Amino acid sequence: MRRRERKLLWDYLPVFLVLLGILLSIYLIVPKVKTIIENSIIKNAVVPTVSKGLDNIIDIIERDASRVGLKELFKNERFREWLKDRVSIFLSDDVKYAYILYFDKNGKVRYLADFSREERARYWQSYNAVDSSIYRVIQEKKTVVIKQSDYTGLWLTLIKPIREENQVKGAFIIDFSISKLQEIQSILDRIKEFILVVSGFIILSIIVSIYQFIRYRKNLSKMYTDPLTNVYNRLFMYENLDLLKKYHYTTFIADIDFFKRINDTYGHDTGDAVLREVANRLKSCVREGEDIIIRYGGEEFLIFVRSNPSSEDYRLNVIQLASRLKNEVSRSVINYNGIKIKVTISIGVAVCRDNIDIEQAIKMADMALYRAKQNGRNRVEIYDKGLEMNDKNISIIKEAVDNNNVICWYQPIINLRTGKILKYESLVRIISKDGKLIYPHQFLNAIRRTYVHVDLTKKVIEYNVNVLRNNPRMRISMNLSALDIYNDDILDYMDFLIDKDISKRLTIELLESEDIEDYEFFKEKISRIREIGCSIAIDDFGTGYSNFTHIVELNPDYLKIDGSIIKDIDINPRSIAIVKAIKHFADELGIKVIAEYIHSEYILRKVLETGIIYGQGYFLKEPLPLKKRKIA
Amino acid sequence: MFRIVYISVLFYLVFAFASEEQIHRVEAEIISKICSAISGKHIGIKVYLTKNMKYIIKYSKIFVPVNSCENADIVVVGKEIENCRGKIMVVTRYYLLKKYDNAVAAFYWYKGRPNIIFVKEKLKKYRISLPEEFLKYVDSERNL
Repeated sequence: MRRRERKLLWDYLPVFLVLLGILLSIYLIVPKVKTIIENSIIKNAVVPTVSKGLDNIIDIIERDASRVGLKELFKNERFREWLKDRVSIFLSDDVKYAYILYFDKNGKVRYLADFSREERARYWQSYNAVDSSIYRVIQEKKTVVIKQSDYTGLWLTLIKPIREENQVKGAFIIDFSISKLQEIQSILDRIKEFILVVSGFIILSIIVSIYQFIRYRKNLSKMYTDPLTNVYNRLFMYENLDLLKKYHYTTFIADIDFFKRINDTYGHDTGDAVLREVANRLKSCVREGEDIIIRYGGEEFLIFVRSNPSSEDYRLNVIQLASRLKNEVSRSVINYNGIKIKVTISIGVAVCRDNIDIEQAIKMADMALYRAKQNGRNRVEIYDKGLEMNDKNISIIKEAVDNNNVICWYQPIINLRTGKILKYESLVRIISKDGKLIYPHQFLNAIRRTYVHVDLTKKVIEYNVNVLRNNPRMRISMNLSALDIYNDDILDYMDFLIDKDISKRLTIELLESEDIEDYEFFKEKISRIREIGCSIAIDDFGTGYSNFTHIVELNPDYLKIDGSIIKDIDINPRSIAIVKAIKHFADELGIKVIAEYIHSEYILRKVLETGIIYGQGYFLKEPLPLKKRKIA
Repeated sequence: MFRIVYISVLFYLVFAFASEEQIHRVEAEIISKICSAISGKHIGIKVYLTKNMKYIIKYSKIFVPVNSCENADIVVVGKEIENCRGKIMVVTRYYLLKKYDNAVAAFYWYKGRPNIIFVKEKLKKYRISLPEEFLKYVDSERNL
């Protein structure tokens, strides 16, 4: 599943992770940095400043002690006071305790002097601290610096040996307060807090981005999935064209045969169940994750199958898969709420060895599908060059449309009783580059669902409007397909082009088509045409499966009975029965009936027998270009 | 801003409690050693504690707390106490060592360090002999 355009926070995840990694590394390094800074301060700032002053004092103590002994020297209170004055010079707020200890021969330690500002010990008081580090000075016989434990409230202890007869007998102790360390700690804590806050923010961003991504994926999946069949929808295809171009896909279009009939007979719930089941059966034939099934239209499924066009068996494999798809759908009846329905599908396949444009491939498969339907449905048709020869190339049609080579011929619809012309049905023709006339059956299917079709319809509307404008007494009936009616672009164009004078002489003939998926929506569109002021006719009525309820709802002005019924009205009693039924039904609703395909006098007589007033056909008048027609 | 304050307070509390816990742990360890040295027992020392010393039990495995002085091997006193005369006492205030005749040892904080002192005369009175490692903490009553 791919997406385009929107940038998510997720896209920045690698940046977040790198940043988080850097910050956490700094966070872990901070304690080491603290030690480095601390050691540097101890070595370069704290110890040297105090040490130098102490060394001078210790020199004096040692010199005097050499005469009377260390213990005796400090017995002298005046000496202690004198020393206190000397020591006080370098005592600062950072020095918490300063005192001199004496190590006696029994291993006891006692205070000789204490210069501390608080907790001052008296002379000869025993030193009972559970701190064996003090004895290191005896072993090492040189200055010792000890970092204190957290719970002591001290930072550093500087111990300087005091010698008597070259033996360490005493020690000058300086305990530094924790304040300096706290300053360092405070700075580092702020750095750590900052890192934590930023890391917290990044972690939060990562969580949010993951949450957002999961939600987005969920929404995306919802957005791209047809809720009824659980296969992809059209939007997926439009937004993932890049993915489709990445590999070679063979395009299949499968269409459920007579689906409209199922919907009309059993209701939409049953129709939906059939769609679901068909989708499931199609899914069972393709590879999950590799092949793509899209619900392309109401009952149309587009299947993209990843394939290797250079393989020798490529064409064979494609045909086998198409057969499998068709057989799988029709293999067993679909049972829904006790209703058993035998469902068949028609399949069109675009077999291309070259990686062609997706839209072109769909078009080719659609042409093949059309042929499959024409040839009796429940079959597979492969697009081939022969098919291409029958359907004029889209580009030729496009060129003709662009060069205004679209014209209409007109066939009158006649009042069979009076012989007067009611109106003319406009029939589109295209003039090719070499001046040949191209008929609708040669190109309409090729351009179905393309913008060329939309452009062509616009040209036909424009052509007919001009004809109506130049012939004020003429009335025209113009064909529009359901797809045209659905297209707001076309309706807007009609609204723009057609004024009241034109619209009252213009009838829109709706081809009764399986493309009408949603009658409510379709009715809204018909209402717009009515607002423009045009009359409505239903074309080809009576073929396929005509839903009388829908016809009533559309409330047309005319019903044109399909030519296939009229043409054998002389030999087929069923056809007469159908025509009579339609006439009766139309009379009840006040709808005018037109019989088309009147190709002989006998047919005309039969039509008149049924009470139908309006008719059209070669026997009456053939279609001709306007210049060859005298407009009454 | 609120987040920074919150984190700062959290840090302060964590470190403050961590530090206090460490102090209690150190105290419990040292008092355990003192009591073990005095009683000669390594486990199951019946101890009566004043209320402010109850936390010792949390960190020491060698004590069995009792509810009265009479049943105790040693009384650990962190504040002034009425009874318990005649019972061997370990005090956690230096001045209590002088106050009570039966206080043979003290553990107290001095110049940021834990200190121990045993009173030579009182040890003798209770016929207590200390292990070698504690001898350096023994001092005469007159030096207190």
